[in-house]
Amino acid sequence: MEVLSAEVAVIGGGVIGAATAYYLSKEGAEVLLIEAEDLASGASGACDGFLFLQSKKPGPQLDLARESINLFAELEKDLDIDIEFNRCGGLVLAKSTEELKALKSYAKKMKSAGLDVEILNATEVKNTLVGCSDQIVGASHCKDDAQVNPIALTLGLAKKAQDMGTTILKKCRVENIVIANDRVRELKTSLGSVHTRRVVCAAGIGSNQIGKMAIIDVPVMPRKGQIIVTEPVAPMLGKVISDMEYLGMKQNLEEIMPKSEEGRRLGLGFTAEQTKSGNILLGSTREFVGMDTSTTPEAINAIAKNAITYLPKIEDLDVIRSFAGLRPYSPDGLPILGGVKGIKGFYLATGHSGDGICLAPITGKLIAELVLDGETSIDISPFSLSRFK
Amino acid sequence: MKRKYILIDCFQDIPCNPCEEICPHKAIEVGSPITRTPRYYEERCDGCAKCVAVCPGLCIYLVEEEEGSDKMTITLPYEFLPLPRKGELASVLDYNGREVGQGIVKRVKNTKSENGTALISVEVSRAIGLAARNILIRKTDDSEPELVEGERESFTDFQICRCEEVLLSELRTLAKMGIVFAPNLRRFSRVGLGLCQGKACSELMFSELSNITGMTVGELGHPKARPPVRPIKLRELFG
Repeated sequence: MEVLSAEVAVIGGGVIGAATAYYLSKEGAEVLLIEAEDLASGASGACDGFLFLQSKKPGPQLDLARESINLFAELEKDLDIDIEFNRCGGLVLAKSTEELKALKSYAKKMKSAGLDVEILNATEVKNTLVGCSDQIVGASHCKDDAQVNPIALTLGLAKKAQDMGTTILKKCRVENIVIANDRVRELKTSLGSVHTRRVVCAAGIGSNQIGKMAIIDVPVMPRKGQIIVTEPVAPMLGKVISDMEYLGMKQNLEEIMPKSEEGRRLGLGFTAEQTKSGNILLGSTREFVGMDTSTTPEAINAIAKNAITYLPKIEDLDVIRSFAGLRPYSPDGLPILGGVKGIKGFYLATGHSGDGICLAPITGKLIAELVLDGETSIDISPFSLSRFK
Repeated sequence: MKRKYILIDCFQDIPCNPCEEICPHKAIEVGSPITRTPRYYEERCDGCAKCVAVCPGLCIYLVEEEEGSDKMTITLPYEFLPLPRKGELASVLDYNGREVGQGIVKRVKNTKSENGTALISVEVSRAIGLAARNILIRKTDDSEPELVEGERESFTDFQICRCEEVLLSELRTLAKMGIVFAPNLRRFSRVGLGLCQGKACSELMFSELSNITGMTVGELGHPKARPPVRPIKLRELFG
């Protein structure tokens, strides 16, 4: 292959890389997107479409997520592919008075962070979520929670970026990063050399390996999430739904994490969403099992059991598939964004830990700002790599 | 007296009812469960042949006969190219593909509303009429048959994945965008992600994809198969 050159090279064709390429191209940058396999072939193509504000930590993470949701509305208009963005609102269900108490105090925090959250009593939940279990004693509702089709989103962003001039290289592995005088100079790839002075690492679970090429430690670990899929049915959920244990798992809140030994091992938390095509996606697990992407009978059974506990009337639906993806998990569950001290031209946009879909638009926008202007419109220092040192 | 009626060669308990849905006169009934074989009520049928064109199994035929005539007309679904021409002599084949006689092509109907399935009406002798299931036009030479303009286009799109209702043209569009590897084509088009999980359409998808891209099946890559092997009720998943 001839030697390529690019103003900015983005490593990773998942939703983060595609969003970054999109926002960079929008600003007129000449972008090369390098993908080891194919678009959305990692976590972005094996996840649900939750845009769940209620599961974000009040503070910088929630602030980012709220900005991101606003960008989805713009993307919906700008992209040529229907991303199935749906501001459906979301529910967090409580199945005991203890859980409800914890949920109420958590809702207070969300409210003071500016999120529009209301607490529903059992009757109100029943009216909102027809056919839900009698065990549910209450829920929190946020009308700004939404859903999207993550695969269509990734494809839509990549395609639009391509239309604006981004070159996409697939089946291309980055093998080394040449750094001279503290600045990125060149990428060595399986398809040849790429001359570039700016590199964005959006490689998800591959970020650790990419980091090593620049002699930095990017503490991203693969965390497996399993999900099961039902046959398509007429709209019946209306909202994106989770339980308290999901919240506990997402935010490392010990008091609301699953109590059972199995639930702990699997990192089980209940989620349900109905896609535009009518399938219901039921989740999900959070497991540290290396690069294994298999789905397991244990997890499938546990997810099914959990789902019926909350939504008894779905028990007669057929399950047609299961799938699993590896989320790029960072030690504190927050993304790793921004430049790296001592290496000019090297930027990280990774470690989204299961929030990649939700945070993709804002991540892409802020990284594009950082790469092209040297500063961002929102402070991203809480997400810097240096927080781990 | 003229009589028009259909024959239905449907004897498998498969989940399929387009014939019932398309009939404007409720002359065909599948009912519930959807795996029942169809029942036919001749007194309600006006011989419109909509069911002949819609049957995915190509197993419905329209018979037209006249009292006193030793000929009858069979209308059959036909999904080969080139289409026969009106007036052509055709070999008539039975259920097992054996030639049972000859007939004359009387009508060739190929409209958009029939979704690409042409309806061929053949006049045959009464003696073989009820056995006719297909026709074969003998080629007189080996040259590529000439197609009437527009004929190929009308046939080149079809549902490659019935569960998710994905058209072949959608795969072509994706391939043009550079999405050629099978796992990603599936992800983006949903081909093979429905109730049957690709058991019915995978082979077809791979051969068409190979045609579109010029890549071998090996190069196209294999999408991952995941449990469950067949649909299973949520409540049955309790371990």
